[in-house]
Order: sequence, then structure tokens, then C-alpha cells
Amino acid sequence: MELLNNLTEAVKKGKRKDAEALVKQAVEQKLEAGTILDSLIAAMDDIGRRFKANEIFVPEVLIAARAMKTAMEILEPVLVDAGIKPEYKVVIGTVRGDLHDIGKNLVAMMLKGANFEVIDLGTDVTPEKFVEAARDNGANIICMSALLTTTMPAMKETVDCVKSSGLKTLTMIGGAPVTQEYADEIGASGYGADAATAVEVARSLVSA
Amino acid sequence: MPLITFQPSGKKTNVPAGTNLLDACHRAGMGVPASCGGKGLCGKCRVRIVSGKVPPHVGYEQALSPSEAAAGWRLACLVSVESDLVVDVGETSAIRSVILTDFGGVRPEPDHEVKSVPLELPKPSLADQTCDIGRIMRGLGLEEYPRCALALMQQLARKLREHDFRINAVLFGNELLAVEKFRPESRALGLAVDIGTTTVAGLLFDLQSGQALAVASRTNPQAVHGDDVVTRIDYANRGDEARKKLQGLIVGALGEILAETCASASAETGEVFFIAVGGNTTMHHLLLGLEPVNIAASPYIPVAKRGWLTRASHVGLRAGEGARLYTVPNISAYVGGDIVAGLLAYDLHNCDETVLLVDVGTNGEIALRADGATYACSTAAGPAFEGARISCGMRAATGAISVVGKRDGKFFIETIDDAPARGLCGTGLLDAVALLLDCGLLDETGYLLDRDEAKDACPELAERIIEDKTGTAFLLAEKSNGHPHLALTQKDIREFQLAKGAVAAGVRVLLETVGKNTSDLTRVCLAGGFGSYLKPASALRTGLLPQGIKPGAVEAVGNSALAGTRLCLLSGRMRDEAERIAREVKYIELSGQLSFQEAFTDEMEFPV
Repeated sequence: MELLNNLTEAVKKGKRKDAEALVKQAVEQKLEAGTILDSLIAAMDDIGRRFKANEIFVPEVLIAARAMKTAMEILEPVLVDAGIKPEYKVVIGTVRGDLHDIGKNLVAMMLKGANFEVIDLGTDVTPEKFVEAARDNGANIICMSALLTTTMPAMKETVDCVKSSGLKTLTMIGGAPVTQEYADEIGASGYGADAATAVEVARSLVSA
Repeated sequence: MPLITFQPSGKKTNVPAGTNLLDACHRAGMGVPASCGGKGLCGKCRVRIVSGKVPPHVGYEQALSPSEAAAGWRLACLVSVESDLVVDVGETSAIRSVILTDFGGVRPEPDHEVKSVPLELPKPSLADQTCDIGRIMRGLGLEEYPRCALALMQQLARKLREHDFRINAVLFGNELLAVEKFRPESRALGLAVDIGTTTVAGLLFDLQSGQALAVASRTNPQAVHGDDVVTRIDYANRGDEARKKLQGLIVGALGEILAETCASASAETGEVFFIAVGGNTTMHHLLLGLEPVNIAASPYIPVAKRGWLTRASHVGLRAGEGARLYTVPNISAYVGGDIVAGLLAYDLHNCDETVLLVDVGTNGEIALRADGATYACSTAAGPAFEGARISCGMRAATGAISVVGKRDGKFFIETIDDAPARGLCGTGLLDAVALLLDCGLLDETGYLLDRDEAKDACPELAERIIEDKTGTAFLLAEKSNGHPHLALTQKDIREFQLAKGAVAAGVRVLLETVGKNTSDLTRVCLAGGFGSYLKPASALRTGLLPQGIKPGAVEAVGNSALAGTRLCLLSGRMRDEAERIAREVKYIELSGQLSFQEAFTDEMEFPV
């Protein structure tokens, strides 16, 4: 399908206006909403793969994600009409004391691109707020990010808070100073080394 | 111990065997860049081993080609010194004098608060039993004792008699700082310093005349422990020892600047009695040895914001006896004394226009004057404009490509001091990106066309598109005598997008916060070394400044941080004014603001 291939390409290149026009065409031609969505997800998967392989860098991901977002705004009502909803929900934010959110935003965008419903709590999120949002939204995963060694302990507090709340919500952590060892140490369910890996980990966590 | 001889300076130094060559370079005062902090990741610390034995190049293969390695090139951070070496570090220490001594803006009016007064005092006698300090008081024509530290008082009896009552009394306001040998020609000198995250610049003044005597600058030696404030704070947080090390490094650089400026002004460092320092809040904390830990994490609390007057010796800086150290007040954790100094220097805090002051350093600090109030914010531009994180990037020093353009259809570059091209500095980077956009070689998303695509878009420059180690790149300068070719890579352009996106988004959000448009701006003052030398047209073309700013409104104002710090050095009234500015400016926190995130992604794209 040439139109959808072009749409995938436009998102990959971050051509927002092209993506917007193409998704409009696809909707007008009454293509199946799910198929259109798949072509968008394919674009973000490709972005994720190349980002992980160091072939592309943060700006490309952000720009592609923005094109994706523009396309999704048009597609969303169509998806709703077709009864297509993201299967899984995540709550995401930077932990208490940390306002560095570029990494968190990348992960949020990539998760959206992978068809997760993302509830973004923003920055400087307290453990209680994470838990509350997870409970209210029935989230499958809580994703936390920290850029500083000084704010990392807030991840442990959040994980503990989730456990003592009795929620079954999974927890994922990431950020420059964070490691798999640290995730194991504090009992987080998963660790994403980069935005693309985070999506893979989230997928495997919810389907486990 | 192995002996290292540095070329071209000829400086020699002995180091213990096993010393890291990069450390040895830095200890010897060689300004070899190392933006990754000596971890073998950035490839910036290239030096050439002229003679002596070093092991083959291992690690970070892309940084050096086999032929370069064979010609003796090494990354200094990966070399352990085991025997005598002769090392060519290039002309790294010659930084362009980005310090404009002919500042515009507010003229300094020295208030002669710091002075060295020659006194020939009458000797005591049974007829005149005036006490020692009272004698000085009388000599100075004062009604009351000058303030005097106990430590000085304890030495007073000896000092007066040692000099036979012919002395110079050094005063700071009504405080006696020192009693020195009689020197009627003696001057009281002062040093104004701008401590940037990447570059430190100092200006020596005669405090009587307000005359600038000499300038000097250094790479901030703390940069080996991280090239932005967050990594540097992270390092300081390792403990007291790490924090003291950072303090020691910056004090060392101040000492060198002091010595160099004094030497070129034929003065002695002992004549310097006042040192005023402006810098961002982190640099301020690290200089004073304050714990910066709470600057890094929300809610971002600095230890102190107001201006601080202390003794230079308390931070370990040796200058004139009893010399005072003053730090310009800060506005918030991320808007520091440098922006206060900038507002002060151009009297922006009192003006009625809608004016923007943008200091594009590693931290982009932005102040806006509108409707009788002043606002400020800070965005993490990163060190790309100062040469770090750009593959062929370097500071604005000899051999840096500073201008890039097309003249009569032909590509050209200009380098600082017309030296052979060694790297690309911030202004050259800005020009290069503007040129690529103008020629259609770069699209609005920041994608650099490959050669085939380039042939259609811009045949005359298509041949400069090459396939580099990392992918598509634009050739800036061909290989020449030992220097590898210089090219701007796709990744470099991405780094540039992050940096300029942060600055432009900061400007936009700040304007939106106070309900203004870019078209309302009557003046846009670009400050800092980069800001002073960049081409305003390139800043607008690349979207470093957001769309809608009138080209005529953009002006370069030079090193405004240093300009304002010098005003504080020369006048107490100006220090009071700086205090008022720091108190009154409204700080706008950008991080975590959704509108900033969106603006950041928007501004990362290039204007079509």
C-alpha cells in the first residue's frame, strides 16, 4: 500500500505536514483505522531501532514523535469510532526532585508510538502521586526516570510505595545513572537502557 | 621521573611514571581540550608525540586513522607516560581575546573604595603617645579607628616599626586591609573575573583610574570533570574531597589569570586588593566551596544568592595582603551573577523598552525586560557552541573556523588569526548550518542530504558532501599538513539542533509567559564570547533566535558578564544596584513546563 508506506516514511523523516496530509488521505479513503495505526507504529519501531543502534539521535526521535503525534490527533477519533483502544496503560514521570525530563519524554513518545496509553505525570512526581495515578487509571506499569545520582533513591521509595499500596502495578526505571543492577537491587520489575529498549521491556512485561 | 617537553611552547615538566598524559598536560597548564573528562570518548585531546616511546593507539578507534596513529597522533587521555616524551599540543593556549575591553553600556565611575594610601607618620614620642592604630587613623585624616581585623592588629606594632612609620595603608572603605612598605607610586589594583562553565576570563584594573590594564583567559580547568553544570555538580557530590578539588582547580585558574594579567601590566600580584567574580550559580558555589547538591535537584535551592564579600585567602587565592573577594549576587539556582552583571552592564533593568538579553553559554541564560519588570530563565543549551560535542569542534582559539559562507558562488572559510584550520568554533558552526540551509543541503527537520540528493539541490556544493566515519558529512576544510580533514557531520547538526532548540524555546516561553511576541522586541542583546562574535543573520537563519525577531533589533554586546562584574569591582554603588537587580528579577522555571517541552521540539526544527 503506497499511501501507508509514504505515511510511514513521512513519520520516520519527521515530516509533520506530510504525515498530516497522508493520514487525512488514508482516513478519507476509508482505510481501516487499525492498519493506518500499524503504519505509524512501524515508523516509530524503526526510529526506536535506529536510535538504539546509534544511527540517529535525540532530535530525530523527538521530531519523528511530533509527526507521529500530529498524525495521531487526526487518527484518534477514527480509532475511537472503530472501537480500537490501546491495550495497555502506563503512568510515567520523573521521580521526586528530578526535573530533567528529556529522557522521560522520549520514552513517553516511544510508548505512545508503540500503542500504549500514556499518562504523563510530568516531573518531580512523588511516590504517592505515582501510586494514586496508577490506581485511578488502572495502569499496568509505572515508569520512572532519574537523571541524577542524588534523585535515584526516590525510585526505591516509589517502588516501595507501590508494593506497600497493595497494587499489582509493574515498575520500570531508567535514566543516565540507572543500571540493571540498581533495578534489581530496589526490586523494580524492569529497566530500560534507552527509549527503544524501554518499549521492548514494557511490551515483554505486560505480555508476560 | 620521565621528562615531558611540550611543543610549541618548549615548556618542560617532570612527572611520575604512569602519569596520564592528559593530566600531565593540564598540570603543566597546556589547554588541551577534553570535553568527555578524559574518558576516551570525545576524541578532543589529540596530541602528537614528536619523540619518545608510547604504546600503540588503543580504544576509540574512530578518533584517529591508522595513518594518523602512525604519525604519532594519540589521544592524550589514553596515554600513560612511561619515559621521556616530546609532545606537540598545538597552539591550544592561545584563546582569541573574546574580552572586549572597550565595553559599551554603563560607564564605570570608580568610587575609590579600595586604595593604597602612602603615609609618612610622625614617630611616637613621650610628647605624642598616640597608639599605633590611632596614628594611622590620624594619618588618614579619620575621626575614628578604621576597622581592622584582629590578625592585622596583632602585627601592627611590628609592621609600623619595621617600616619606620613610613607605610602604605591599604583600605577597603573604612577597613584597613594591610600595612605595607612605603611606596608612593603604589597602585591599588583589582581583578574582574567572569567564571564561565567552559571559559574563565579576567580583566585587571587600576582601581583609582578605572583603567583596564590587561586581560587573560583560561579554559575552566573543572571542565575535565564534566562539561556542563549538572555533571560538575554530580562530581562535587562525591564528597568533600571532590568538592575541594573543583574549588582548587578554579582557584588555580584565577591565580594564573592574576599572574598573567599582572605580568603583562608590569604589576605585582601583591598590588591586587580586590577581586570581583561573576558567574553562574554553580560556578559561584564551587569557587566558594559551597555544597552545590541542592542546586541540581528540585526544588533547586542554592546556599546563598546575595553578593558575598570575603577574603581572597579564604578560598586559597593569593593576591595582595588582606585582599577581598566579592561574588556578584545570583537570581536563582540556574540564573546566576553573570546575568545580573549583564543586566547591570547595559542598564537593562531600568529601561522602558521590551528588551531581551541572551547569554549563550553552556547554560543559555535569558533575561527579558518588559512593561517595567524583568524576568529571567535558563535553558540547558549544552556546550556545543563552545566546541564540545561537535566532532571537529573547538573553542574560539587560533585556527578555529569562525566564519563559513559562500562568496560569488564559491565556498569559503575564515579562521581565527588566519591560521591553518584546526577545528570549528561556535560562530563557524552557526554559519555552516545557515549556509547548508540556504543552499538547501539541510532540510527543516535537520536531515543532511546525501551526495546524490545534493547534486539536485545545490550542484556547486554537492562535492563537499562526503561519507564520513559516522555517515553523511559536509566538508569544511581539506586535510593539510598533519591535520585531518574537518567536516560537519549529521550528528553534529543534531547536537546543534538540541542546543539551539533549547535557547529558542527558552526565549519563546519567556515571551509567552509575559504575553509578548517576538515582534514586540525592540532590542535583542546577544552576550558572551559566542554571542559577541556570531553573525546575527546566521542566528536568525538557523532559528537560534525564534522567528519574528526583527533583524535590525539584534545586537552583539560582548562579554556582558565581565562588563557588569567590572562595574561591581569599581563601585560599591554598582554592587548595591546588582543586589537590587538580583532581588527584583522574577525567575521563571522552565523545566517541567509542558509549553517548554513543546516549544523545544518545535524550535529544534529549522525555519524553512
